[in-house]
Amino acid sequence: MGANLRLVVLLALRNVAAHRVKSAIVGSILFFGTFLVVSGRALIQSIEHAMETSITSSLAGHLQVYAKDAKDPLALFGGGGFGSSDIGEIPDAGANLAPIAALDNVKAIVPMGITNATVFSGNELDGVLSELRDAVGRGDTVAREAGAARVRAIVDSLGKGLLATASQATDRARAEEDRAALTRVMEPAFWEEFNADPLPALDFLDARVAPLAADGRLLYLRTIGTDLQRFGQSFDRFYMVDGEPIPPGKRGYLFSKRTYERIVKNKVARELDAVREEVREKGKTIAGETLLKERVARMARQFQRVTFQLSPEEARTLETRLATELGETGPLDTLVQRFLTVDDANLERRYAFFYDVIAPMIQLYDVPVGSVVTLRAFTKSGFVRSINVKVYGTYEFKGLEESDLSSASNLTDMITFRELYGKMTAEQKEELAAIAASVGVADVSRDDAEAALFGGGTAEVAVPEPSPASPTEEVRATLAANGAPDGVAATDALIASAGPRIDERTYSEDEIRSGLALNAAIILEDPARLDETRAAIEARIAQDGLNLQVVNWQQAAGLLGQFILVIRAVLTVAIAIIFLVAMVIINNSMVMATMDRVGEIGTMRAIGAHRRWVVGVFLLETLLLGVIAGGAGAAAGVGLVQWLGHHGLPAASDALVVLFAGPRLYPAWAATDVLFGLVVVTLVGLASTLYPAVLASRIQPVVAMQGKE
Amino acid sequence: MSVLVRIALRNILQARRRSALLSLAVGLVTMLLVLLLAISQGIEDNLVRAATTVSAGHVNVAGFFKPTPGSARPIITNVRELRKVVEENTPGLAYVVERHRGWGKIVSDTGSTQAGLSGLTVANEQRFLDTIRLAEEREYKEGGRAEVLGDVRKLSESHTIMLFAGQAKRLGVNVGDVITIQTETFGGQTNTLDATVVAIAKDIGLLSSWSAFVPAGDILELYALNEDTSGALWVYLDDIKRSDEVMNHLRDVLAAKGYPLMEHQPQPFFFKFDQVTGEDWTGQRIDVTTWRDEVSFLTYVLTAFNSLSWFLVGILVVIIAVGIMNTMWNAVRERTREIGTMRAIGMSRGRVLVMVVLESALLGLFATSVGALLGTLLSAMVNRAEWVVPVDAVKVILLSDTLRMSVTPRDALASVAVLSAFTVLASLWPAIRAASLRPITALQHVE
Repeated sequence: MGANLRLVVLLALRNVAAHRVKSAIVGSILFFGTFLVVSGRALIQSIEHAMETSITSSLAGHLQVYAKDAKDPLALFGGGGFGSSDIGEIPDAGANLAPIAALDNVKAIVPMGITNATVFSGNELDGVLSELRDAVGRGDTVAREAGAARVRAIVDSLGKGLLATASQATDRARAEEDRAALTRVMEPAFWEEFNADPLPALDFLDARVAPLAADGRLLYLRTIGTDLQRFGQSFDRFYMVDGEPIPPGKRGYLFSKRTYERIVKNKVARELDAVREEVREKGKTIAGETLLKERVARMARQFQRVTFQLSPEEARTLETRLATELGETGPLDTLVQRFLTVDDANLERRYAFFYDVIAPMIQLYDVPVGSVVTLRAFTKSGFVRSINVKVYGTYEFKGLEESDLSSASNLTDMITFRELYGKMTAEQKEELAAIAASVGVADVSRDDAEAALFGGGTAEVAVPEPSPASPTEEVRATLAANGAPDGVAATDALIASAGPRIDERTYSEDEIRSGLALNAAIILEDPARLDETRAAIEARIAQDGLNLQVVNWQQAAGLLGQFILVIRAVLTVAIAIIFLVAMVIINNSMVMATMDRVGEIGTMRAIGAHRRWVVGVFLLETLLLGVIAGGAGAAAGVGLVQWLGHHGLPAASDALVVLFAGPRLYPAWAATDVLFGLVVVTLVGLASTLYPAVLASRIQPVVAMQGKE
Repeated sequence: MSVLVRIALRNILQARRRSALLSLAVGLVTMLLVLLLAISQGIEDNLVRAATTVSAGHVNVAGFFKPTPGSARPIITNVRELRKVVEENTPGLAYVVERHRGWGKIVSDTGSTQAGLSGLTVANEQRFLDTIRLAEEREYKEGGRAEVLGDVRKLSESHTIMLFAGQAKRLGVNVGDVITIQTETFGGQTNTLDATVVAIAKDIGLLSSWSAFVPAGDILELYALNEDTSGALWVYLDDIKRSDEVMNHLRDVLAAKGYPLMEHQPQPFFFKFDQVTGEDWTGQRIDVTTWRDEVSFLTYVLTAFNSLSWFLVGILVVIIAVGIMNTMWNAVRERTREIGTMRAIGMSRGRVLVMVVLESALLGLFATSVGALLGTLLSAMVNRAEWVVPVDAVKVILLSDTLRMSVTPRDALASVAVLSAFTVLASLWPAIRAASLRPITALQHVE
């Protein structure tokens, strides 16, 4: 047997060497195939791993639970539409989640609620006016004069624009009023009044003029309300970048650093960052890329976002500095525009100048850390709710700073979320009910005030008797009947009446944990046991009859989770097709090689070789080729992945940035990739050799004797 | 020549097994190419259909109005005059419609959703009426009937709305129900309007999940705008392919007539707010874009799919080329003596070359034709089946709920031509080798 085996191996080796053309062709196909499988598999695994990390360690945890009777599936990063999915409610999160928290392998469970809040970033005039008011209050005459000068500068520029254009509104009377107000403020007489008695003048500016400039930016902020204490402890990559963490039990808002940089930052600074990134990270040149050049031109036209923010003194300083920097003189507006028209040569220098000289003079972020923002959101029943909270700072997840997914959401406390969602604290309910009662909503009991006011048609609404209209309409009708100009506006007024102050109360842990949540992230001790733990949780839910369902992180990621499955499927199908065609070609090549060897095989059969032995020689021949070519292909694949792992694979489009969890993917390979590639290629090789081998084994010894043709 | 064809045919038929296998491989790849092109074309068709129904005309004349430097309102004022200019100066114009733009929340008793509101005058919108297909009740209501309720034409009455099936399902509404639309005016005031659902249309991919249609007057009412204001003029042409050319032409015409223009930026209008808000001009500026600009955030799907297809087909072509070279190489070697004989009796080198190339060309032509035919048939079958895609992510990629494949004769012929050309190219080297044999060596050749 030993000698026999040695003979087979020797023969196979000789054949591989002797039939060079065939070996080269089959070998190169096998080489290429292995290369493709190894590098493709390593890439997709790396993408999956990058996504898994950025999803599980930022928001989702390993598993998510949410209400079983949810109308829509949970989509943490948004579904196809505009974030209005209905994922049901977990009424008493504390009690409902406790049984799950007690299970084996569950490290932590973090209750959450997702909402889309808008923040109105305000305009320059609002900011300057509030500073001016402060200065007047403090009696600081220097600051007061500086502030007044800035207001006059902005009003002048506003007024020219507004007066020059006809109003497009149907309400002509109103347009006239606006015009009159502006004209008045532009007159010197107004400022004499201001100097004599600032407060009425300020009130006029606030009430009549500021709204005319009220086209600040509306920021759309995906916001997750959560138990911030537990969130910070459970997601160990979480850390604060700017500001300070929200103190335990306090209410507040944290921006994700990436959102803060990419959305909240001053437009000119943002554009400058983006242009520099294009040049530095993507190796583009301003001179060579038309799109980038146009972007620079557009950036320069945004100069007012800098100049509007300067006090007269700062404006003078900047004018001098810019004149020196640019080596030319002119009005400030022109200088700033010139300055912002960067080119490849001066980009770095101007970038540094911007951050060293200009940034300290302006408010670099539209919503500064430490300020109070008004969050607005539609409650579940569709009404606008506004809440003031303090912005404590910005946060990031370590190692995921570049990931769009990880930084997709901003954070707030659970109490604020519940209010935005339309569930209020007991106190607020009472207050609201009192107001409602005073305008004549007599037949709504206190406990149901919220549900009735904010509509909903939820099961617990106890409307005394069946009424043809929905509760919302009923309230509206009642309000209208009592002289309110418009039902909805009045309802808004009710909500807003709870608005302008900040809630400074410290909430107890019990208050935070026991109320409503929409979903909860489960973090596991050992992620490898995910399926097992999931089954245990499901069993527990069934046993306790909880209205919950559990999904893994991939399902929780909604569409995004599916995308990765689609990519995997496409890659698998593509490789399958490639191998199918390769099999046909290899098969063809081997059949032709067999036909060449008829004489030789016949002779072997004549001197006593079994059919099986002939098949063996053929299969071994392919196996050898598979090992050699496949090995080389695998090595090339590993080499490519290693190289990419070192240099990074750049994400060519925004969609890829999401998939790669950053601007570049640094793929890694695993031994399983190589093993998988070799096994697949060997199997494909053997399968395509089988037919020629059988064909060869059918050759009769006599054929060899007859000679060719 | 006919002799050469006969010889080539004989050779192909003689090596039946070899020819069959090779044809199978070439045919498979052709079929795949045709299928991939069909899917790509299907996506493109869906994109064009959805885009030109929901987001844009072939060319859009829109713009921003800025009462103050820090504001941006997506409206055009004095629209009658502008419309006249556009209608008089568009080459190959089919017609122009006005679409008013809004954004708001649609609230029903049991749910809510946000949507872009398109205000239209339905009587002028023949194309819209032709393209929009209404959904059967069962598509948005569990246990609903298999019949279409409602009527798009009722959008002519004020305080009406047409939703898409996905939205109706989410909102839990049926035709005839009343919903509330909430918007915020440019001044920041919340306005509401109750509207009756008069029709529910079939979904058309991602775009339809955030679009709803209302009468033009309702948008004016919600935003307190006067009659001579609109959101955009949608210009439909006789030939959509001329969009770019017409856009440039209209830009020139409008500039010549003294309209201040925004520079061309290939993005949908809702991406431009931030930029426009920050610029220092006031008053009206006109923006002219093509339909492709308005859905530019979707075209990456098509680009990605096409790149992937070409990558796959590229690899396959290389593998096949290797196979063909090998086969022809063998064919030449087997017939070395035959070729030597022909050369000896006076056949020129050129004709030998043609003979070998002809063999692979015939094989290639046959295999690719069969492959293309099969691909076309398969596409037709898939289309007939109206197969509903079960995975949401794939629906997003396809921009439709069903897999739609569209084979154009041009694509099918191009597939046949390109792949046949490759088979010919692959056989050139063996053919040159055969042609360069000296008769005497060839005759002496012993296997």
